[in-house]
Amino acid sequence: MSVPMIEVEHLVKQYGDVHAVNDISFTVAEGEIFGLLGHNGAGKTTTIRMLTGRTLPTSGSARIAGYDVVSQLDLIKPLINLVFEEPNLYERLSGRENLRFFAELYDVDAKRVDELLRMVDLTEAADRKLKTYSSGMKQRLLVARALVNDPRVLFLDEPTRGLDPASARELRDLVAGLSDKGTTVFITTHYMEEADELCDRVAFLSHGEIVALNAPRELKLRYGQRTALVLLRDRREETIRLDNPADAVRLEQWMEQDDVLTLHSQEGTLEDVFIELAGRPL
Amino acid sequence: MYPRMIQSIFKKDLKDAIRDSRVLVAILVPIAIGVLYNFMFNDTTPTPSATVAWHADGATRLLDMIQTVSGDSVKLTFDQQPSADDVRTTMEDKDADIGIVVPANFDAQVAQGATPQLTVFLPKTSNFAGNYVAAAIDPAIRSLAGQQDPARIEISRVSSDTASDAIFDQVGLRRYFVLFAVILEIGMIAMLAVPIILTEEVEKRTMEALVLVASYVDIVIAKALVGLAYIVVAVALLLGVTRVVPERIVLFVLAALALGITMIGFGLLLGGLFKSANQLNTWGGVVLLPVVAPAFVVGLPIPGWLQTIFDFLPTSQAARVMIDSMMNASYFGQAWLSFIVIIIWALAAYALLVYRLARRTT
Repeated sequence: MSVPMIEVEHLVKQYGDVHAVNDISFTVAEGEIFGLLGHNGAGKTTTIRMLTGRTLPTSGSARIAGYDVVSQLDLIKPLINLVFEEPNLYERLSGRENLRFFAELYDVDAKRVDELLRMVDLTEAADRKLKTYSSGMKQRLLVARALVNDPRVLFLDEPTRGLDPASARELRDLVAGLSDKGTTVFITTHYMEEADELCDRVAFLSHGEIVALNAPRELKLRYGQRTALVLLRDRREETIRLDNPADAVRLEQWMEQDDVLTLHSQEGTLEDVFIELAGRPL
Repeated sequence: MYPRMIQSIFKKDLKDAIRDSRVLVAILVPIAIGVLYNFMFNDTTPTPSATVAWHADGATRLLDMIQTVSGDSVKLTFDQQPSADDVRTTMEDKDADIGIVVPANFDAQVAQGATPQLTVFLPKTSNFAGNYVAAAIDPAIRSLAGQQDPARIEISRVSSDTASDAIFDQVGLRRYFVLFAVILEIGMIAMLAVPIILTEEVEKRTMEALVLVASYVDIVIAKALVGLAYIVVAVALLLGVTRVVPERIVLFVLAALALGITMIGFGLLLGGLFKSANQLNTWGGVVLLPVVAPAFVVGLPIPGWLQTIFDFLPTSQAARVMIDSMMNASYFGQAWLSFIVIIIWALAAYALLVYRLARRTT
């Protein structure tokens, strides 16, 4: 995971006086799963729009697989794809027709369509009109469409929003599998647990700026509280800080008196980290 | 610009858009209007006809004389009856416009200067054909009597001095109104169906997925080609079902294509102004009306200032060329001037479109 597949340097997007994205820089290595987390309006979608060539940056630069997203967009297009947040599919066409259309656009063999339908478990429903699909089926078709050109970089914009837990789990497994095969994954999500589980690294975006960027464990260690919950013999619950010498003395006393029934470490979550950095929960 | 992308989007739209009831209605309504006009109007004014129920006791030349006097102004059908009573019954049954009972030796008596009685039955209510034949009886009998006409009447037909009569005489009422439907068809596809196809892509955000792989230029060209394909098929179908065949087919095709391409340009611009396809479907007709209406008064008497304005519009000019293409001899002429006007509008539409696409891309 050493080759940078996405390189972003001082990227800015300004709409009038509003800085939707303000001077962000980061790199994403090949095969890495990178999460961009933030509130609505933090600049996540604008960042994806710039990286996929649908919006021009006001300043700064971004490169995908070494190609500039502004001047070499035609070279980037075959290498990337995106799972959209909303089911932007052709409702009057069938699932198979939707995929075939994009396979033609990407000049991909029609066999790939059947392969993808099997992968997302839509073979039986493939010839039905999309208006008969459930939201979960549509989301799976969106994923299949995004994989039609076997992209080297896959962007996912809130991919599990609205999915039932089982479908969300399937999707996360699929994404993890893609990463194992070398696909670089750039994901935005509101679900901190999802980011924690999936992402090699995450960046927190607040008001268009990156306020933290690291591996989830490192962020939790750095920003999370190191505490433990102690259940005492008299059924009292006490929270102790692991970095507080006074709490260490209290714990030692309880143990000497055989008052401790259970002891649970309380590792901080990404949610805690985000609240500490952004001042409010997602 | 990638032809493969354009071809893929074109194929998809051709199949997908026709499943949209709004697009289908935009295509089918002008065809239905054209078919309706085809049944309502004739290219030539039909000659009035009259059925004459008659009975004669013996031979008579009176009916031949009536035919001669009537000439080709009325198409006469003579229905011989076995008796005078049968003539009356035929009239009562409304199976004839006039009944004539000719007595025996009528021709000889008239020739000798006698005054035999000729019985004529007319319907109680006024009847143009019956009255016309009744008016022809007197001169017919005078001929039988060998009387000289008191004056020689020379009838010559002249066109009315109103322009509308002149153009209808030239091109025929039926063909004129079918052309009306052709221009409506081009207008509805270009200014309603095509923008609906484009706006729906933006509204449903499928455009976002398209531009991940294709460029805006590819997409817009594909949409324009879809509109043009629909125009070609729909106009051919319209002319086919109405059996209107232009005398100068190349001129007609060029005018239809030029107008189609121009109006599709404006239709694509229009598509960018509306946020939803339903909004466009509701208000598109309001935009379409002033654009298409000038074509429907071409050759008709309208105020000079209005005519001057309409002369600068592509729909009026295309209508002039199309009317001329219906005949071997031009009624309006100067087709090249009409094409120049249409091309200027086309250049304006596509220049604006390129400007908007460039702004969207940046």
